[in-house]
Amino acid sequence: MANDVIVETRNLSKIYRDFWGRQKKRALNSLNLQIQRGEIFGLLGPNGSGKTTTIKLLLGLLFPTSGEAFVLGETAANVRKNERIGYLPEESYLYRFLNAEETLDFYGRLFNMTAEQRRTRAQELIEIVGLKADKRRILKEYSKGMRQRIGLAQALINDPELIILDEPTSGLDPLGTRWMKDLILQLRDKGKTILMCSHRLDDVQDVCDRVAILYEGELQELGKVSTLLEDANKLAMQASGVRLTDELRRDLDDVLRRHGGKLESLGHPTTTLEDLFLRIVAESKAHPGRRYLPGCETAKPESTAGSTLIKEGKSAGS
Amino acid sequence: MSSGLPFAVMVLEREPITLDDLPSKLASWVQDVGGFAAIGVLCWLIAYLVQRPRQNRQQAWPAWMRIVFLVSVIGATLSYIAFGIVFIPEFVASLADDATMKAMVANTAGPAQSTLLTTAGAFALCAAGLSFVVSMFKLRPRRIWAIAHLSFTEARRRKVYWAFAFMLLFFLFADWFLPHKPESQLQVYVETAYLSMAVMLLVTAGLLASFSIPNDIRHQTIHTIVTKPVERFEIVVGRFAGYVTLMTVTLALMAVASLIFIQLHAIHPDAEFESYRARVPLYGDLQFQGKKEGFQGESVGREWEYRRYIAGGPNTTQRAVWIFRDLPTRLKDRSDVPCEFAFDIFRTRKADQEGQGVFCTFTFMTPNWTPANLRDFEREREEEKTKPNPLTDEQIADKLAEKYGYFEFRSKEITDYHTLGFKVPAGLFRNAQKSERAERDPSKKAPLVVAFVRCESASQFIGVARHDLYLLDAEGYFSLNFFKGAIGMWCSLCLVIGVAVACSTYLSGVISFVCTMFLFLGGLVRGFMQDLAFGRTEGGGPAESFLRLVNAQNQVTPLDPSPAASVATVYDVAFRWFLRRILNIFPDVEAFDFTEFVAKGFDISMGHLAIHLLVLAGYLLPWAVLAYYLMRSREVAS
Ligand SMILES: Nc1ncnc2c1ncn2[C@@H]1O[C@H](COP(=O)(O)OP(=O)(O)OP(=O)(O)O)[C@@H](O)[C@H]1O
Ligand SMILES: [Mg+2]
Repeated sequence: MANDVIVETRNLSKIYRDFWGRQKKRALNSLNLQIQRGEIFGLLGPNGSGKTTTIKLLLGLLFPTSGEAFVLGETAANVRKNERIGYLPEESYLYRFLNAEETLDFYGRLFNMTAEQRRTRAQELIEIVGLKADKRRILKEYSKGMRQRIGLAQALINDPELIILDEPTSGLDPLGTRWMKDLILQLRDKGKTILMCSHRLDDVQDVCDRVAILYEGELQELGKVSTLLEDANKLAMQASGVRLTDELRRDLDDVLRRHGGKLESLGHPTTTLEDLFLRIVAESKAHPGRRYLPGCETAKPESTAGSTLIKEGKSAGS
Repeated sequence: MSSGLPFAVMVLEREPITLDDLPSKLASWVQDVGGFAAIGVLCWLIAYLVQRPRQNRQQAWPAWMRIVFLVSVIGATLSYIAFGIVFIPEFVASLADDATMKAMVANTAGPAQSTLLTTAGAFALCAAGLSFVVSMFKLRPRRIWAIAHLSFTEARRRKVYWAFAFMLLFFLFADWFLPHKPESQLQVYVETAYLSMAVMLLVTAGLLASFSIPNDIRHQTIHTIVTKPVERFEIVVGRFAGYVTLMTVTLALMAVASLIFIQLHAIHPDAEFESYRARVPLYGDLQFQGKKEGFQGESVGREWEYRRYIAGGPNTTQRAVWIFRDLPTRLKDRSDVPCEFAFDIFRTRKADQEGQGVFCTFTFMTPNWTPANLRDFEREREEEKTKPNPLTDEQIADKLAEKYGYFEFRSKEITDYHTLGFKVPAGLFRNAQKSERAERDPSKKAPLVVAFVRCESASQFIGVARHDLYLLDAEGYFSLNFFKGAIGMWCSLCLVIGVAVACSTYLSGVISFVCTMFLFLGGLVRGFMQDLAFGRTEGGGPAESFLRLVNAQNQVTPLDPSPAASVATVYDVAFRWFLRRILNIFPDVEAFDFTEFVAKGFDISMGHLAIHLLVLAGYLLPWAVLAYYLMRSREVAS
């Protein structure tokens, strides 16, 4: 259904030029994209690959050199579309002499909201982004992560249909990153469409339904995250309640051989640093007096001790 | 002689703009702004054809807008072509004939050409302003106010107002650094107060306004604004409104402070008569009367040609004549009407006349007076004086003035540049009301009074200008007038803020500030440039001057006819025509300077203020349109 295409670009290209019209940089080359309603779409790519450029073109901050961009059925240059868009810039470019409340009030006014609407909406959002204690401090005193949070609140002030996030997790600690990712998923569940860009692959992998990978302004890959990442030639399995013994290894190998496969690796999984970090923070919250003592290394968590990871490769052609 | 004039001699080298000037001003506004609009539309058309339209940039215009645009462009093109057809032959003819050329330099176009140019200008304005006008309906006060409020808060949080602390210097040290001439004390205070306010406010306003949008772009804070449903032009208007509000508040506070300072200061007793006044004058038209046909007053060779002179003496025939038309009818209900004046004395026999006064006689007449009545008039006056219970002199004068329409004030001693006065009996105005003219045409009730001034003292000259003599209609409040003067400054502030914000939509902060100051200072010397444009300076335009320089000719003899000379003249004509158009880019800053009025104690009328607000709007409107297009076509993120 064409109606459900929220963002569409047709041969969108951008060349940055200097004052005299000489070419400085071809930042985007003939991009064709379609973003559907209700999905989380990730723009992925290394630094300088044209992710921010794409977003700015969609928002009308830049004008395309050629090609077209449609957002919510309007051309990118039409300001009316902004009624239904929320945008979090790469860095939270907000007025540093305002405090959180004033900031939200200001942006609320730009949406022509009444004083009453602005007040309730601002309190709601401050609550959501967890800045309640700091809402009267001016943004100049905020840390990077706090600025990112108020930036997100600003992007959500109009309860937008389409939310465009440029590196939403940059500057956030792992806790904040997880919070941000959860929030993004929640927004999706409420039926919002989200376009985010990042070079943090784990972020994208965790939340995005579909991704486009850009390199040097060219679209390299486009598709569902699950399909893109699935390696049909490999099989992974996780078990609990058993310890890894030579006997187990032999038995498993036998089973796999019978099915024409081959055991490649077998071992205890390591947790990610992210998980560890999250756990420690959670424990510190639960036991406020806790601190690290020299020579007393953290005990291995019980939950992972019992699980075993099997990696199996299928031998081709058998 | 223009420096150190004590007291209320108001020098108005230019007639203030009045309501009667409006139609012609409007026409020339349409011509000039329309010219710029035409150039703008032309550039746009060329860019459109060369670049191939990017459909993505804007939504398509609705059909009616396209039709209006097309009609306007065609209309403007046809009118300009017609203008060219009428103008060029005359221009060519003028090259051969010096007189036509002179006429053309003085006045570019005849009525037909002028109408064509106005029509073309109106069409061009319509084409250029169409999109602007349509988008005006999309502006929302709340959004504009949000941005205005932001500018205000920013200035407050950044503690900009500390800049205004410099004003304290004036209050603290005014007495030290200002010259102490008791009679001009108030005038100097007023002038210095206004000047220090103006410098400080204008520079601050210029800086704030020039840097606001460029800073928004540099810090990328504009990204979060333009991605909201904000019209780009709302940012421009919001910034303008914000700084104007800020400056209005500051100006008001400063004006109050200055006024308190001025009011509290003791004024020298000598100056009391002249201080804290706000006269509402009624001016007449100045003419001269003399033996020679078309006598325009003598020139006594003073460098400053503001005043013309009449020779004195017992048998002199030279008179300065002020004709008061359309005097308000309320004058007749008063007991008398003061007449005030201040003349310049030019002594030809200095040594033996020193210490001896110069005397003038003032004669007022209405249309009912005929010189044949003089005998009756004088006889009756003597009779009145010899009556048993004689009336006072004033009463007699009043009675006779009403009867005959004649009043004479004899041998008033004149002091250089000091405002002097006497009372004109109201009977004279009652008589004027009854004049035949009024009876013939009831709509023309307004009385007509003519004042003749004659200098009695032999070998002395009296220098007069139009505003040197006036009837005093009423006396206003000095404090109120001081605030009205501040409104003039407010206009200048709006002007600076408007231009700076408009420039900053395209230029960087520093460049915008420099441009604004250039335009403002250019506006201050506009008078000189105008002289150049209208060919009033001696030695001709730039090419002619250069030729004179090369040929070592002096400035006043006519150029020898030669090919080079005619080329130079053609060049100068074209140059002047061009310069005159360009001149309008510069604001008429001086017109907004009401210091003279306040300092010299003359009331600034509401009409005067209203007209200047109109002039301000007329100047800022094209800038607004320019800012609109620049802001809209700007890629804020690159
Ligand atoms: N205003 C500009 N003028 C000139 N070149 C620019 C401009 N903005 C971006 N570029 C160039 O365009 C290319 C793409 O930039 P872009 O900001 O879109 O990258 P990105 O994918 O967002 O990178 P990052 O992950 O670092 O944010 C880069 O090579 C950059 O140097
Ligand atoms: Mg980027």
